[in-house]
Amino acid sequence: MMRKKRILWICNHVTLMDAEVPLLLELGFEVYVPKKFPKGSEFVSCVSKDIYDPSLTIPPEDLALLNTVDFYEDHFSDEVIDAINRNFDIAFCTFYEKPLKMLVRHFPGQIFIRAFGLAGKASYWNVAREDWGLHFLDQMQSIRDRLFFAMSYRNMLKVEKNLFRENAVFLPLGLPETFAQRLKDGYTGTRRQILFVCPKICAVEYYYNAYKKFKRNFWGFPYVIAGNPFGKIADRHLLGYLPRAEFDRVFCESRVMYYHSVEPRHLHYHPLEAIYANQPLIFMSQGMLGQLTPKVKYPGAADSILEAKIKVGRVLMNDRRFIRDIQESQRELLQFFTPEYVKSFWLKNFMPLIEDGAKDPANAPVTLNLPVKNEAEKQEKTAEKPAPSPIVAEKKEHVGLILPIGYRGGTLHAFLQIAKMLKACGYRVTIGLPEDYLDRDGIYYFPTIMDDVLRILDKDSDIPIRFYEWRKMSPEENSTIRELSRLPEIRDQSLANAIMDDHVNCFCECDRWLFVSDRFFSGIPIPLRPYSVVVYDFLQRYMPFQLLPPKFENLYTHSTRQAESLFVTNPETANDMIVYNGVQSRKIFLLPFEFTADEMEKYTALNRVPFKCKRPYIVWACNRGWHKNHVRVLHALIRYYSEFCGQLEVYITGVETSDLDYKKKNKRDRDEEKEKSSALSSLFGEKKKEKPKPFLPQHIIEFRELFRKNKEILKKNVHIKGEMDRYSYFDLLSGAEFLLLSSLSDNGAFGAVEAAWLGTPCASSDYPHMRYMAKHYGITPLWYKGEKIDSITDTLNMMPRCSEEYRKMLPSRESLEAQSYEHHQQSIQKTLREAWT
Amino acid sequence: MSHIGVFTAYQPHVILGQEGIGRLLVFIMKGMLNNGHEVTILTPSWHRREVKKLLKEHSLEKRIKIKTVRKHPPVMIMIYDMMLWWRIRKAEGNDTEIEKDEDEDPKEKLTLLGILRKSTFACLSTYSILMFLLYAVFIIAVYLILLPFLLIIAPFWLLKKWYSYEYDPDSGRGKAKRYIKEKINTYLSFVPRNLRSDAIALGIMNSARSYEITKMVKYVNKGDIDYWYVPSVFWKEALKIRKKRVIVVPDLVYAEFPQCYYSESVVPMNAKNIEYFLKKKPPVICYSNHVKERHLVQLRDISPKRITVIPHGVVDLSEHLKMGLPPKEIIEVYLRRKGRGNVPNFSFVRNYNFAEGRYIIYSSQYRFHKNIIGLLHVLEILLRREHININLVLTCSNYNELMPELEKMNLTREVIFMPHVPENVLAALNALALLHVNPTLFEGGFPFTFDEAYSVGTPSVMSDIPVTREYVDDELAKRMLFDPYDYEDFAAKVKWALEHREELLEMQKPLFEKFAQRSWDTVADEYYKAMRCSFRRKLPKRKRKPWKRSKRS
Repeated sequence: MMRKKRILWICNHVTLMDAEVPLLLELGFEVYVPKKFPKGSEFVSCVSKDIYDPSLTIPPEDLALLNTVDFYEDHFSDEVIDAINRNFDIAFCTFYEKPLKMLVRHFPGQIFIRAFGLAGKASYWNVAREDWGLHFLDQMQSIRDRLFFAMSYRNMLKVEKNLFRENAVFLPLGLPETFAQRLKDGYTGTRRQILFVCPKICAVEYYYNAYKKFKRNFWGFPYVIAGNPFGKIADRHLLGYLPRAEFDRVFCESRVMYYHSVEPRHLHYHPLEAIYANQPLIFMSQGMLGQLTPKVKYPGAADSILEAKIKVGRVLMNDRRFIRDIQESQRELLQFFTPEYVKSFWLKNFMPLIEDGAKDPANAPVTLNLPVKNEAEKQEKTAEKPAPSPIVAEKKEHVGLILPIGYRGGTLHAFLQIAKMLKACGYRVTIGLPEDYLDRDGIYYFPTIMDDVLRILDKDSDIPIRFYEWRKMSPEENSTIRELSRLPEIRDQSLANAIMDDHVNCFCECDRWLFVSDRFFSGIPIPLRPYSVVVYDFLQRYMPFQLLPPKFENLYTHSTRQAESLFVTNPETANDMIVYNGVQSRKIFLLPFEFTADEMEKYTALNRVPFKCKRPYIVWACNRGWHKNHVRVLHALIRYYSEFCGQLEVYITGVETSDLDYKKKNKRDRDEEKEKSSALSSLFGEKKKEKPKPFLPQHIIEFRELFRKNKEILKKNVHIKGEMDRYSYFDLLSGAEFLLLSSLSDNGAFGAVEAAWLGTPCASSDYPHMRYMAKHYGITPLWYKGEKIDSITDTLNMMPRCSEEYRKMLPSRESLEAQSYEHHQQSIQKTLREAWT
Repeated sequence: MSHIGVFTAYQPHVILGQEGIGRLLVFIMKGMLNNGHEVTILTPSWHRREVKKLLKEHSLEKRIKIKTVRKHPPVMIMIYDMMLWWRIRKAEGNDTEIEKDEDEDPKEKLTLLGILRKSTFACLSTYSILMFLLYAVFIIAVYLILLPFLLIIAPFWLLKKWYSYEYDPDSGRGKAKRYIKEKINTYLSFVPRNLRSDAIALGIMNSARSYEITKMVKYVNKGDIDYWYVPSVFWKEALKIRKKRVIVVPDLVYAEFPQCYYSESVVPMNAKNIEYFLKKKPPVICYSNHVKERHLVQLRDISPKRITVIPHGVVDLSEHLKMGLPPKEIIEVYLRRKGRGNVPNFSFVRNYNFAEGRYIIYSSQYRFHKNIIGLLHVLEILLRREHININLVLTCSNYNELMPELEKMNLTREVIFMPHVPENVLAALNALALLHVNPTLFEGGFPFTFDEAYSVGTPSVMSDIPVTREYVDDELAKRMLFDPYDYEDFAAKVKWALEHREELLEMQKPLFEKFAQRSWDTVADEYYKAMRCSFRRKLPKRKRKPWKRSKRS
């Protein structure tokens, strides 16, 4: 015997659950209802019940796993997704972003979106488009044969569009058997007052407005307002939160209920409760209750506020006959909610959809009453029964991997490693590089970039590469492009937006973008495709002065907040991002460090001779950035040589470290000299195009000054090597006593790992990011306090003594190799599956 | 029971709901009501609306009467109010965001030019030659009639067009428009937002105030309310009240820190009043022994016998979190409804995830003695030297004065301002904070901030000052009190507290329980007792006998 079909029913609303789940059980399904849901005003009428679990035949371990999941807010881990896919055939889901995106992307069975109507003319389709992104709509389109819009009210079709209109199924809402039983005919009407039920006044704008409007309209009438307002509001008519029994008493005692809603597509439960209680109900004709029977106007219906007031007044004046009319007539409205009525629609509309095998053609038109275009053609199609569309997540997407700024060194390396990894994971990749590299006047000018890129990409050099430039959008252009691509309008006009102009298609042939680094100087990328960002560090946060004007900071922040998901390689950076940018932690995913043992292995295979020096020496690897703490380290070195007669020599190396040399002339000075010499010629020539002049930051000037003052001591001991090629650097490093890392804060320095490979211990300033990295690779650096010059001097003093000891503690090459980026493919694939919904 | 009057005479636009004093008033008045007294609040005519709002916020408007001696405020204040309303309306008009329904077509405005343009186009696109000619004649006639008007309007319209083309924020053009805007703003800016900062306004205000207060005092003396509670010492005229009364001296902060307050324009005026007041050496009430001994006895020579110390009751914010809305959502609802308002860097704050953003909080206005700069220094130490990943939330509304300092220290993003928050948001912010840090150099009584934070489950660390020492024993002081003048100690204590949050919370439990025992009903009762004991000593007029020459026999 075939097993019963199983339904995953993601909706915890108590009344709905009590009505619909028993119905589904009766129709012959097994139903699973989530057990956990978040706290908050949205979930106030939700409960978790496990009374339906005994009917389930899924393995207990899967059940236990699913019971721990919050389907509304949690991440769906791989295991949970697999458990869902393994055990369920059909999914019902309320219109909530997280679970719905998961289902659409990963679930292979039929998906029913349970919708209960929105206010006014708002439609679910529009909400999905504006808030959840166009990409998601595309995903829904791709599984259109098994995605259904299960609307509760027929007139929702009037506003729904596209897929939601075509695949709409009318599944009316039922009321549970126990509904309003306590109130049944309990109406006494002893108090001369209107009952107006309006919850969540302080939490939801809609109810607040309804409350205000009611107060304005019924000024002078005796009334009470029931419902938990979720806050303090000074109004003696408000009953606030009442216990159930008390509420029922007020309910029955009030003479009349007024139901304000003019929403044709949404209905609350409390007017139905009033009908059950036999309480006269005055409602608006424009609302759902008035629209149920378009041809009849009930005595309780009012076309306008004035009419409502008159009718309410009549009831309050105890017009017996009128009250009886209302009571008798309104009972007819309940026919639309009886179990028989509801069940008939479920049988007619729902069952044929999920039954496999041959269909009875008579029952075929299940969707709606729209004219069917070609009956015969449709029947043919159903007879063929094509295989259901594949799972969205299994389709490997096309990722546009984009570098926002012309980085070199570590970030470029990491960027290309990510490209290789994405390709290995089965994604189609297109690389986007900024035109900064080719801009002759810019600070990122690097004409041989392509050679470097291709060399690192190695066997993956077939990945297409395009250059692009950031194009800033004017506010008008911005709103035009958003209008054309149907993106939601931006509210804050002060934030610049930009697109990547690659002279082809702005990378729009990709399904999604992945930016490596969050430095969007030119503006927030317009989310024509969903994008993610790999964020490396928050250096600007740890500096005592402003690195960037707040305008740029806001650009970075908003581009990360707008991103679909964010990746970090260090959990400490994730913490920075949560606190500094205020993003939600559930958007952030951890990827492994992009360290590759490849290069090191090649170097080792060459068996090169280490650098030789008469005296023992250390290598200070740094760059030009402030966070490298140059001035303090130099102070420490001066003290080390002058007070302690230190014997260690120091070699400074790294990108742009040649700027630290005081003898080297500033490029600007040189330019000025040149200009002076050519001033005469330029008098007659045409005006020169002004070039942006690279200037030295203050801390470098300070460093140079200090160096020059103490050059007698330092000249012999400190050597500035500037930028070296990799292998010479490794030669230098492998002969050194120690590697000195001087960052005060960053994402962690790979230099430590390379040094460990070459058998050189390192000394590092103590900060959480580096702590994590060292622990990750099993390295024990010689820690010091980078903020204190004394601490650095002490460390320098300690180095010759403890060099051997620290050398012994270094991890083996095998263990480092095991941490190499290539070995993490499995975990990366898993992370991407979770992150990219 | 008795009928108690509350005598207030604050300046216009002192929004009591947002000031500590307003909340204190409400607590005490509630306590009086609970003890069965009848309460009437006497207020100047310009302050009636604010007081009413305050009472309404706490649902007291039915139980407490508001009394004013004049029906409406002085004309000048009414004019000022109107101008201020206009200015604020202009500045904050389009802030609140209302979600627009997409399907709804925007209504086209019916403008004269629009109609003309439309009809002209219609005329030019007709198929019938006759109609075309007729239209043309008609339109020309209309244009001719309108010509004089158009000629008048044209220059303005052209100017507007030109500005809107000229104005382009990116390219740095549009100087003309900016210039004119600035000019207009400078002309408008004579309407001071803050009355305290404007000398003329202050002058007008003071004369109006002293007139009205004199009237109020007359009313008090003639009326039948026997007990009067004067919550502040700014009003020297209150001395003339000839009923049973208590006058509260919260503190004389300017006397303890003259070096910080000499430059503020409002201080001399208030100080003069207070000094005049204290010269008379009336019996007064203060909140702590420190104020009694240091300020009143030592600095202002008042006899200790004439001073009663009535400490505050407990401030419990937990009720706001029991309403059903989680703290995170309270803040979200507030920020959504508030609009841009006066939150600096609002686009950043609006979507800031307070639930996960680790932060410490200090809820207070920025005054010199509040030592907020010290707190900033400590934040910098914690963040940059100790690598503790935290932000700071401040609730002061005069954040503009702090901005230069923040920029200098690169803390503009680490410090989040939430000015003018209502009580429920304050509760939510406190509940989500890691720690409440109170760096103040002086406080009139034991700071409210401790109870506020503890009642929603957040521990506090505070500065080691006499008022805190009055309550905190040595054992606990080692952990929760720091020297506000020593940043290292300060930072170390905050660091320890952040690392041992639960432990500190447990340690502070007895202290909070001690405070919790002292309800506002008790406090109100003590005030009542003080009122009953107070009396105005009427010296009997000594009748002197005329001198007579002694008769000598």
